[in-house]
Amino acid sequence: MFKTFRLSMTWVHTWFGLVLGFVLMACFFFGSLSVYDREIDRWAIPASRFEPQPMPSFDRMLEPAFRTIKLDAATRAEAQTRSRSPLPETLPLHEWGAYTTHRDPVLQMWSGFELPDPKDPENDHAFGSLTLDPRSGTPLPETALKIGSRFFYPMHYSLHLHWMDLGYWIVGLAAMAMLAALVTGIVMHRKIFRELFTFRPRKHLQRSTLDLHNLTGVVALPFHFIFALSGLIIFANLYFPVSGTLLKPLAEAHEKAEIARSGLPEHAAGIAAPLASVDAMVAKAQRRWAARGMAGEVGLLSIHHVGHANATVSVYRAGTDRVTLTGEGIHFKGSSGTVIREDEAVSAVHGINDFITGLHLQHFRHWMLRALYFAGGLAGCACIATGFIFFVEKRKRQHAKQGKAGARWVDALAVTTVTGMLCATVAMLVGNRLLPADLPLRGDWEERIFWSVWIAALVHAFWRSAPVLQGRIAPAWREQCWALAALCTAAVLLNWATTGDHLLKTLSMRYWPVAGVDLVLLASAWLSMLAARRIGRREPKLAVDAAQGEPVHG
Amino acid sequence: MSATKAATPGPREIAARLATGLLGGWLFTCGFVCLGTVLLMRGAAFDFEDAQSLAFLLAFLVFLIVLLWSFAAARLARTASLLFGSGALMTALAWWLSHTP
Repeated sequence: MFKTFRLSMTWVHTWFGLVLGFVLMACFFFGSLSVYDREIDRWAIPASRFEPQPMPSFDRMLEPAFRTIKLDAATRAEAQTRSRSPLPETLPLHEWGAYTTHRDPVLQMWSGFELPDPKDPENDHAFGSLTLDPRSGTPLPETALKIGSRFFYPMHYSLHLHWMDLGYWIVGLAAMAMLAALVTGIVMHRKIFRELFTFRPRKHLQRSTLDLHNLTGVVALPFHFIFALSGLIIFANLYFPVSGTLLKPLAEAHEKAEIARSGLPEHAAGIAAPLASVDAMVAKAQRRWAARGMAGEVGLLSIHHVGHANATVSVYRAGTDRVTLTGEGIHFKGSSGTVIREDEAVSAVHGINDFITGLHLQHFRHWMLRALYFAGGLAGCACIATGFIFFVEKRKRQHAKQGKAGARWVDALAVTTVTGMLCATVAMLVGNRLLPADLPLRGDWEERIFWSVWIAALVHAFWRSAPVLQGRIAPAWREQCWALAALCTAAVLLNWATTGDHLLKTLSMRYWPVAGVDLVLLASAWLSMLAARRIGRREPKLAVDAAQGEPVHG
Repeated sequence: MSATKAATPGPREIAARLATGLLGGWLFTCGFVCLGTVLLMRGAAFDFEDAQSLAFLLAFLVFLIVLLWSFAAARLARTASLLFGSGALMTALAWWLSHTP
């Protein structure tokens, strides 16, 4: 593309990084929040603020709760579109599932139903869900949005754009851009070791920004690379959908062979039969895991062909003791409780794949490693944000002289994706504490607050970035920093006012999920206030620099 | 693409390189995944899941290399024809092999 390889790679770094950096920012930021998604859920749903609970008794608590699960109105309406005839009031049951982790006080349960007359026989299931308080067996209202695990977490890989899986494709492209940016970044900067130790905050803004960009990129380089790559590998089937198309005969033959080998029935028998004690099966599974020296908490319990003579019960353990995605599932005959089979050791390739997936999904119980993930993710955000600022700083004076607006638009988009995204996120938490508890579709309103504040931040950023045209700093940065500081403080105060859980209380009780979110909010408030004041001090000085036409070398 | 380069690439060159890197790169990687899966099954007795997993583990690194190559190559036309051509060829070959017992 250019005369030298390095120049070509610099072009790729600059432009891929810039265009897809706006998406990457969201992936890295919401990915970082996903590290603590369960903890954010506790903050957002005060009724769930208690200690994590083990999988409760199926026989006494879960079975009656499963029987109450129905399709909600929206799911039913969606299922109706896939059915050729009107859906009956009660649909035939297909499966039950319950899932928990070592960080979950509440239990996630679901019931799968079959559509009796589907348009597409391969798309004939519909799911109802329930969140259970395992201490009492009472359900929590499904209207309470689990902001961490149901909004921030899917945001980081789907952007909540589900039409044609568009969000997944954009994120995939952004992840490829991240990989490209890392490789090209190494090509561009040959003194990579020195950059590990270089940060000159008192130098010119453009110089210190570049230092910080290199530092955050290089320090966490393996982290950034592995996370972008493992994210792509997790969704590889979506990005290269070949097993359902080109290689369908091979995939189908493999699936048939697997079903035959597993000994688990594919279809319901059609003969009614009750379940034997599932608690006894769980106890048997735990004894088998203990015999192999493995942690024995149940992570996933699933029952297929519920109510039929050939029902199966699968018990998987929570993989808290290792990085790899694991389950060591043990499968039982539902009517008798006899073991059908145990999952055998996986092949080498499967093992590598599970390790890479587990590394990304982090089901392990290791709080220090979790904190490092969070720090790595935020380092990624800092790297991308400083990339934007460097791009603008390098060009804005030249653009000002040439009367070009490019630097201004980039700066406005950078404001939107850095402070604007933070404001939208915290505004959602503020909304969560302000909306009436009994508001129908409360979660939808919380999402609307998030998107509206983000759009407002975009409009504000474009409006308040005009001074960039004269080579000056956009006041939008400072103003949104102040807004963020106010929102963060408000969120902490509102949490106190609406639940009584102030920091002294949560800290003295060592209830880290809520105390941690509050502390991070306060730290963010302090940091953004600091940033706002520093930007405020620099705005007039930079205006003078610009007026004098000070030459800048980057 | 001409052999002599301007200081900054024009929009047509950028579009051509993007199309080569992203579309050509995707097609090439898709062919790599398909053919890799089939060959691992036939030649190394992998089962389908393992063969495809191994192809997926390598796929994005392959994509990354050809993506960067599309921007580094002096002669884009050669790169483009190689990526689109061999991508289509590998995909077709894999389809034929997977439908042949």
